[in-house]
Amino acid sequence: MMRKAVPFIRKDWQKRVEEIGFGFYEVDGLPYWDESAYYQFTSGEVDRLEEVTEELYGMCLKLVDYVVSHDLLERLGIPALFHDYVRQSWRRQEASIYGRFDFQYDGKGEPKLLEFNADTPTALFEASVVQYYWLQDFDPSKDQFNSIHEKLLDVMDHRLRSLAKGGVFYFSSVRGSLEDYTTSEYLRDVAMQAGIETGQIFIDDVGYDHDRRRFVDLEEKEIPCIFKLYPWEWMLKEPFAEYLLSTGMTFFEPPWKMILSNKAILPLLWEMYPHHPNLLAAHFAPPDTLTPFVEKPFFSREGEGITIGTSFSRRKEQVMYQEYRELPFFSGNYPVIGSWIVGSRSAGMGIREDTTPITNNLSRFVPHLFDQ
Amino acid sequence: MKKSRTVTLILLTSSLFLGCQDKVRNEYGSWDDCVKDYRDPSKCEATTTQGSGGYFHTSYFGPWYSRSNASSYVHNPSSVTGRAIGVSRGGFGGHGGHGGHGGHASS
Repeated sequence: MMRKAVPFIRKDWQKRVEEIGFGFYEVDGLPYWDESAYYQFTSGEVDRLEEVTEELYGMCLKLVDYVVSHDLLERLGIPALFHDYVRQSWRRQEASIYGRFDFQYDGKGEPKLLEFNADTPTALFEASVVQYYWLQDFDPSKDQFNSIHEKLLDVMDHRLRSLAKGGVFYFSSVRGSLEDYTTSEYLRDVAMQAGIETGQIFIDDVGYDHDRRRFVDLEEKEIPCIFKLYPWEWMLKEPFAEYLLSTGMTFFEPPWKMILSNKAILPLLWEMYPHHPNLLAAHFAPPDTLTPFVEKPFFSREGEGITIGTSFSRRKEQVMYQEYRELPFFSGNYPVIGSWIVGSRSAGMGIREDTTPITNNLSRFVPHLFDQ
Repeated sequence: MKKSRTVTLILLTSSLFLGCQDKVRNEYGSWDDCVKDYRDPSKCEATTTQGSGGYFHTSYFGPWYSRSNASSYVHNPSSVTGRAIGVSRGGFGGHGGHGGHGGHASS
């Protein structure tokens, strides 16, 4: 694995990315999409990332089964009112579209799991489409660990089309975020290509029809299926939460993903698979050690609430502690590998880098390639 | 080979995309007219702006909707479409950010 500066940047790159619907390549005047460099991998490194991603996903599914069968939902901070809702979703084996494992990886040792973004992962469009077209321009003879688009089409075609039952499948995100809107509309685009009838609705436009006891769109038509780029832990605290239990609307990601989007899975995985080569030591209690650990809230996004330290004197509610492993450092940048699982298959990766060791919502997306 | 053989887009490369340019909303002369049309005050929004002469002007808007039939479902949601009674909205999205990259709900 190495980071390479490019000999040239596409002269009209802004126009090129806008043509494929990518509008948030800059944030607050700073670059988010950065093609002044790329990461180069060997095929062996890519093979390893692919294997580890599928192995970890298998371990995660076993963990969900363990949590459900041993009634550990309370421990994950999921409100008791929704325990049965989550359990039923798992027992019905409700389909999942995707998730993103974040790895610390330098190409030498084993990839180490930092976290699993199982509910509302983003940077999907950048990984699946934007870096694909970059490679087509830069050097189409090279390969890229990226069959995300094909695998999404496959999941939409074989698993989701039948769930839509000929009805409209809605895609939803928060109003005012072009990044989230693009991610949601990209998935809608793929669904349309799979022959699914689709609609778009912002999450705050979703209505509840008290007479019919159904969630409805802006024309008061029932919403049978919805992809929501909106975290479950937020939904459960909101006024419509109580209606979830009786409407029968199918959600993507499904309710059982509440378990895996919770950082409490990291100590649980460590308990189930102690010293697994792709896991970092993780605990619920502050570790009594001089080695640095990272304190992470069960529910946090984009590096929010994360602290690196050696001493955590006060035990807090709903936080966990994960062994600190320094990210690789290339020319002043710390890259994190985001490895995508689509359905249950490893599908590709995207890399985000930052000048600090905590990746956040302003970290840049940098493309990658590898030699076949 | 581990890259997609081809990546084709149909929605994101259409004129409908990039910036919700296709989204419009109805403007009313008064708050009551808006509420009367949508039968739901939560659908209406009042926006006050100061004109060049220093006078304040209040505009009343209904919810955003898509102007184009090509987006398949979001037509004008005002009462001309025959709304049912007893629908509430805004019960999800309370945590949602507004204002770009930093205001999102993904991770």
